[in-house]
Amino acid sequence: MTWKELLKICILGTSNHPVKSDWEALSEWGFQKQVQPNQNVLQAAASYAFLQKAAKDIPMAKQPPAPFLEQEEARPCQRSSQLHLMAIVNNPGNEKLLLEFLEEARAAGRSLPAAGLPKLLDWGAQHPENQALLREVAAPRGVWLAQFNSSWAYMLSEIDEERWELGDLKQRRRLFQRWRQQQPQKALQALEAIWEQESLKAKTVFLQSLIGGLSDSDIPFLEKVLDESRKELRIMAADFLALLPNSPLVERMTSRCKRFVTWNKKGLQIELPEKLDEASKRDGIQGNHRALGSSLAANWLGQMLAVVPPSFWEEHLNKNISQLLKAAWQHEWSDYLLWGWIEAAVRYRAQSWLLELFTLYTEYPQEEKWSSLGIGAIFKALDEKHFNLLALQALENHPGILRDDAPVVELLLQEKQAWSDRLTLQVMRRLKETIRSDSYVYHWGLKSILSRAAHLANPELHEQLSRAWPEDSRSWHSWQNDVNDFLTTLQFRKDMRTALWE
Amino acid sequence: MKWSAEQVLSFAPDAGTEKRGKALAREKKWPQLACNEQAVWGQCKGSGSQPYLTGIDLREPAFKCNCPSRKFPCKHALGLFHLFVQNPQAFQHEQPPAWMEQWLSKRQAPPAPKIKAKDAKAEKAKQKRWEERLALMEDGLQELERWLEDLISQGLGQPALGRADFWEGIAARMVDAKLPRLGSHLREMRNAVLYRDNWQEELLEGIGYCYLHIKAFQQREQLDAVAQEALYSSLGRNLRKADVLHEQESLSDHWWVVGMEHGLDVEDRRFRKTWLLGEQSEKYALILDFAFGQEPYAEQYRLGECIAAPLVYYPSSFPQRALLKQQQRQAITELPQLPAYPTSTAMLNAYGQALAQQPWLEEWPALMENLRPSSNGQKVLIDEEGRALPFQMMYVNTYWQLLSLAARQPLRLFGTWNGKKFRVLMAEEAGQWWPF
Repeated sequence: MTWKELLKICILGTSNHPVKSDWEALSEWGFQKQVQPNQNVLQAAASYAFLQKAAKDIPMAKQPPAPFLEQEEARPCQRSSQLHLMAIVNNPGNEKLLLEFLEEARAAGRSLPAAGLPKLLDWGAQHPENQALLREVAAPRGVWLAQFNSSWAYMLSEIDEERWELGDLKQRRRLFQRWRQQQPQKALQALEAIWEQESLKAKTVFLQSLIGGLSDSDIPFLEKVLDESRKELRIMAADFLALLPNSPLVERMTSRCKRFVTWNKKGLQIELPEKLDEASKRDGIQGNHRALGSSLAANWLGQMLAVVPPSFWEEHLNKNISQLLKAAWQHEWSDYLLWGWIEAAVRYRAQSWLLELFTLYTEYPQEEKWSSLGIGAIFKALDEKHFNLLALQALENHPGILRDDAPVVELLLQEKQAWSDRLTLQVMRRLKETIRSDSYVYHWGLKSILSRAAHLANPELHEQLSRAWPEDSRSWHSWQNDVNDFLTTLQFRKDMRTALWE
Repeated sequence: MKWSAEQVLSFAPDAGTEKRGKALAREKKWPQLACNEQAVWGQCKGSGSQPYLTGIDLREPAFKCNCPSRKFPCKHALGLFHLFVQNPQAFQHEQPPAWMEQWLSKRQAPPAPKIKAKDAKAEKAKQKRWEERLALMEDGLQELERWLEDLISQGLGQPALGRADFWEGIAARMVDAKLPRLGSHLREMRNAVLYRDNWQEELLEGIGYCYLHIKAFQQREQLDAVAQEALYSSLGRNLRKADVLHEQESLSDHWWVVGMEHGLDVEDRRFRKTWLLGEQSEKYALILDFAFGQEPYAEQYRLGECIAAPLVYYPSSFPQRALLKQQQRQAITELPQLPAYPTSTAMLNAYGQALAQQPWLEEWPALMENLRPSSNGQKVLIDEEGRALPFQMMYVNTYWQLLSLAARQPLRLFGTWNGKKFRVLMAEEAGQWWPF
């Protein structure tokens, strides 16, 4: 009687399958044959269940374990850094802290804790935009690990060309994105080689992926795409070309616009295009696109202006930015002009244009049209230096109690630009004044500023910022948790950095 | 001993409490702060009219607070501890107030178990109760035997096995017959039917396990007293902690927390298994705690900490479960080289010997060295001889974490062997212990 035979009898049931077995094999283990067959079966099950535990044999492995990692690793993190990282990855929603940890670890020349790597690599698979950073900071152990798990293939430098040819679209997209990040030109060549045979869906997916690593060498290919029959491909190619100031498309658009926007004794003159020619359509101007209002021709002009580098107008019309924006503000077609120029200023990150646009905005903050003109985009496009400059100026221009609808609040709610120490101290001083003097408790915007500052302010200011909060003010109860969260995050960042650099 | 911020961090029950606790680690939150050699205490301004009274017995540490929080330790206790670690000068050295004194003295001298006067009458009554219980157990086991025979007769292919009432009836009957462990075992067999691929084999093993208990009980008089105690314990007889502490001899050692396991049992109770390994005795001990709902465990343990304490084992032919007497936590300086099995074969040989002493062993603690994770369809741990030890993963990530830790050298792992698979609870890498 073997275990398998016993199992077969038990599955069928002794009433359905007569037991005709010899119990010899079990006798040496104390088995005593009984009159009742069911008791014999139960006794055999008890003996086998015990024997299988007591005399289990561990088989030899079918293959040896993988070779060890041989490359040298950077200095390992201290135990406290390991705990910081585990606290971050085990609590979802801590992406900002995670990015900061990775960047600081890279700067401090620390290798990441081994136990946390699998979760980090999973996170990287979901966030392609951070894969380049991970490849750098998680190497070489992360790269060694990635060879065993296909979801982490983005860590590897080899491109699996067979998968590029035979994989499904999702796999090919992942592969192409990685290829584009690591070897942009080779990726472009691979795309050109298969472009004609691909479906519209595949073409759309790969074209979208070109955005990572876009450069002047992509111009010839993108110009070819402008001749595609499908509109969605043409529009995307035109959008990308408009991001490359040296592209012929930008040149064409600039010369096209020249005749529509002029300056004479009466000031800024606008002539709307009478019709939309094929060349303009090829360059991405959409005939029925209505960003604003009902005038199609004015919308065409707005779209054209959005592609022309704004500095061109200073030279071409021989006016400074302030003069141009003021004239545009008062013009019959002001919405279209400003929309186009805001788009262009953001596209080319034209800092002086962004500053002047913000100044104009603060002069007329109550105007409802600003949101449809896309003013929010200028805050994101500001670089760190100009952001801080502007925020400090805006604070000075808005004395007294802060309110949610003040333009400076909108500016301070941005999530990208790090705050200078001066700005941080000024903002906190003003917030404390507001808490002290204002009993209104629904300052949601102001409270959100604290959660931004928690990640953007210098954590070394923690001690200084912990002092002198107006805890006896009438509205303090509504601020207490937000202030505590702000200080706790700041303290965590400070500890995290200290541990990495010690 | 001196506590570090990192150690304080490890007592937080969750990230939220940790964060709120840190926010309270500011002097001005505490109108009163004081300490002596043994404890710290303070009053914390809360939302109520009266401040909260918070204290910490630094010897273990143990926490006390009269706030209504169900977290343990609460944010006030953590805040106080953080503040003490960061800024001990802020604490006045003085005599503890009455509320603190009372709590400390209670902790210092746990009430001696009330041993009933063992006069002849009480002893006789106890014996009578035990005989009644044995009779109940005997009836229950007879019924279970008949039920198993029916099950074998009808076969494991019968559709009724998927129904809850098929199992629930007999499981409840076992609980009534003072055989709760067998009741839990039958409920686990039902879970195997519902959730496991190879459920028929698991069921047959479970049937064999029940039958082994039945036969052992029928022949119990042939067993010595300790083996009988182990059998009764395996059937579900629970000894009172006070009796164990009073009646069993203690073993003093430096006990290292080498592994911890948290979970829910079939009755939805939270349980925590804390595995200790004695530095001198080289013996393992299991501290088993249960809690309902959000109720906190009475004691807090951390992986890698060392507890200098006498310990008492529950009586058994192969003692595992134990209770710690007065505890003294040690500052961790360097982890010791604890004895480990070099190969799977060595571990299984020791396991076989333990089974011979205690056939009811459900899990076997083992520290093993020279293991490397590998995957070839099945995920295994390869030992120095090239044998592939199957292991149980609670999470998919476990395998990858182990592989990452083993990138440069084989691992030392602590875990439990259940007769089929090794469950990893701790991995050692570069002198540090990682929980799993």
